[in-house]
Amino acid sequence: MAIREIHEQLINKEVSAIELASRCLDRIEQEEIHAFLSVDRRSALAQAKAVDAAIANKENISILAGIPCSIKDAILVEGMPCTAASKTLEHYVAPYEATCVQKLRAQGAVFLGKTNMDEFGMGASTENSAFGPTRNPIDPSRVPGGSSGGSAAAVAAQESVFALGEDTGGSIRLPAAFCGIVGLKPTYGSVSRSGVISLASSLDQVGPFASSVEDVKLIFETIRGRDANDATTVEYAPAVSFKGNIKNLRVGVPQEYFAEGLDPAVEKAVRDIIGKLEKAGAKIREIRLPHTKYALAVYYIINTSEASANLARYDGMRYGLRVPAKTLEQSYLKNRGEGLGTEVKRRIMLGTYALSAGYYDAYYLKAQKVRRLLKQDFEKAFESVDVILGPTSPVVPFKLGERMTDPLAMYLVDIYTVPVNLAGLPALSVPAGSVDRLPAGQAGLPVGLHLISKPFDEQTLFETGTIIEQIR
Amino acid sequence: MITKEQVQHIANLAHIQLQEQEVERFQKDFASILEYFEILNEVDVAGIDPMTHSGTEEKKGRPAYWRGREDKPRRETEERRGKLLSLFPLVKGKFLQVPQVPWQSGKSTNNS
Repeated sequence: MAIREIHEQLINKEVSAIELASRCLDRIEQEEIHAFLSVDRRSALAQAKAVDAAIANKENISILAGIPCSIKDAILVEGMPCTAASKTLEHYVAPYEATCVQKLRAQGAVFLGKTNMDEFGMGASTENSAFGPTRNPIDPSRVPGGSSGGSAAAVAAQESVFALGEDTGGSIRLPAAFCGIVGLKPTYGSVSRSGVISLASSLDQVGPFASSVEDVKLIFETIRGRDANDATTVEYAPAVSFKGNIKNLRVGVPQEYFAEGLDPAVEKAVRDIIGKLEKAGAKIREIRLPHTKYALAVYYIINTSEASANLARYDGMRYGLRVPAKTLEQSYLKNRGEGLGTEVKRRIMLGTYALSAGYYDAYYLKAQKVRRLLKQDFEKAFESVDVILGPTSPVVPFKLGERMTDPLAMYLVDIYTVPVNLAGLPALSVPAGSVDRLPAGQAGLPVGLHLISKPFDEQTLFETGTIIEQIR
Repeated sequence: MITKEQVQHIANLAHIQLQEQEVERFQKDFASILEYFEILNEVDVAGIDPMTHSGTEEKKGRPAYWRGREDKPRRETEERRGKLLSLFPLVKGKFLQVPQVPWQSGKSTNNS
C-alpha cells in the first residue's frame, strides 16, 4: 500500500500506528529470509504510540508519521546497534544519529530495526555479512542483491513500508531490481553522509527503497539537503529537463548497456518496456557511452583505494574487536586479521596496493583520468536526451553461493550501475517485469530497469518511472 | 604475476594478519583482478585531468560544493562523552587504554 493511502487510513482512524508497527514486527519475527540484524520492538511501539496520541489529540501529523521503516546497518540510529555487518563492530552502539535518520525521525517515521548488508557495503549479494546472508523473498534459494540486500528484502517481504540503503556502486539499485521494488541512488551531494559508515567517500550516497516511485520520491524529498556536518552536500536545486507530456520525453538507449554478458531474458524485458514507451509517444534514441567498458576497472581501483583509507580506523583501539597482544603493532595486525571478513581484507589490500609507491600512477591516477572520460560521455549524451535507460543488472537474482568463489564474477554484476557513482549522477531502478525461471505456478524472477538522469534531475527519473509503472 | 611475498608485504602495509591459506587465496584473486585492470592500458588519457571527486560542477578545479571551514575543537556534552567512552574496548578512568607503542621489544606491556 502507498504511504499516502496508509496516511489517510491513520488520520481516518481506520488503522493505528501501533497496529501498523505490530504487523511489521510480527512479520519480521516469523520470517526466514534474515532481512534484519537487529530489531527494537519496544522503541518502535513507543514511537508508534506517540503518533497515535498525536492523532487522538487532533494534531496535524506529517505524511510519514507512524510509517514503519528500516535502516541499513551502516547508517547510525542513535541508541541502536550499528555493525555494518562486520564482526569488528558487533558490539558498537550508535552514539549519535545520522542526519538522514534525524530528518525521518522529525517527521515521525517509526524505526523498526537495522537491516542486513554485505560487510561495510562490499558485495553484490548480502552474502558477505559476518552474521549470515539475507535471502530473496521471491525465491529464498536466491540472493536479494547487495550490498543493501536486507533493506530491499524487508520492503519486498512487507516487513517494512520503506527503507534506507546506501549506494556506492549499485548497492541500492541492484537489490531493488533483484527484489522487484523501487530504489533511488540520488545525485552525489544531495543527501548527507553524516552518520553513515563510509566505504568510498567520493561514491557513497544514501537513498530510499519503497514499493512505488511515488513513495521513493517522498522519502528522497524528506532526507535531501545541505548539512553542515557533510561538506559535500549542497542546497538541493532541481534541474528539471522533462516535465509533463511523454511526447516530449527523449530516452537514450546506450548500445554499450546491451552488450556481451547480458542475459537475453533480461534484455527482452527491457526492450519490451522501450517498445511500450515508444508506442506511448516517447522519443527513443540510440546513444553511445564509449568508455563504459572501462568503468568496472576504474570503479574497483577507486573503490578499493578509498576503502583502504576509510577502513584504516578499524584498528580495535577506540572501538571494535580488540584481540590481546603485546604491542600496538601486533594488536593492529590481529584486530584487523580477525575482525574483518575476506572481501573486506581483499579490498583493503587491493587499495593499499593501488596506492603504494610505484603503482599509484599506473592504477589510481590512471583510474581518476578515465573516470573523467566516463563523466564526459554522460555529459555529451545528456545534450540530446533527458534520461538514459538500460537494465539495472545483466543477470537475474542468482543462487546463494553461485558467485562466492570468484570475486570478479561478483564484481561483474555491478557493471551497469558503477558508472553512475563514478560520475555522481542520480539513477532509479524500477521493476520492468519478470523472467520465467522458477517452477510453474510460481512468480517470475524480477528484472530491474535502470534510469539515469542529469545531476539534480531526480524529477525526470520520477516522472519517467511513473510512466513505466503505468505502461508495463 | 604477484608473488606470495608481495601479498604478505601488502598485508603488512594494511596492518592485516593473514593466515597461510588466505595468502594463497589472495595471490590467486589479485592475479585475476589485476589482469582485469590492464584493460585501462587501452585508454589514451593524454591531457585529461584526474577526477578526484563527484562534485558535478567545478570552479577553479575544485568541486562547486567546496567551502572551507575553520577547524576548531568543540566541547562535547558529558552525555556524549560517556557514550563514546563506553565504546572503548579498554578504559582506565577517563582514558583509552592501548598496548605499548614501541614494538622493537616485547618485554613489558600494560595490556593483555
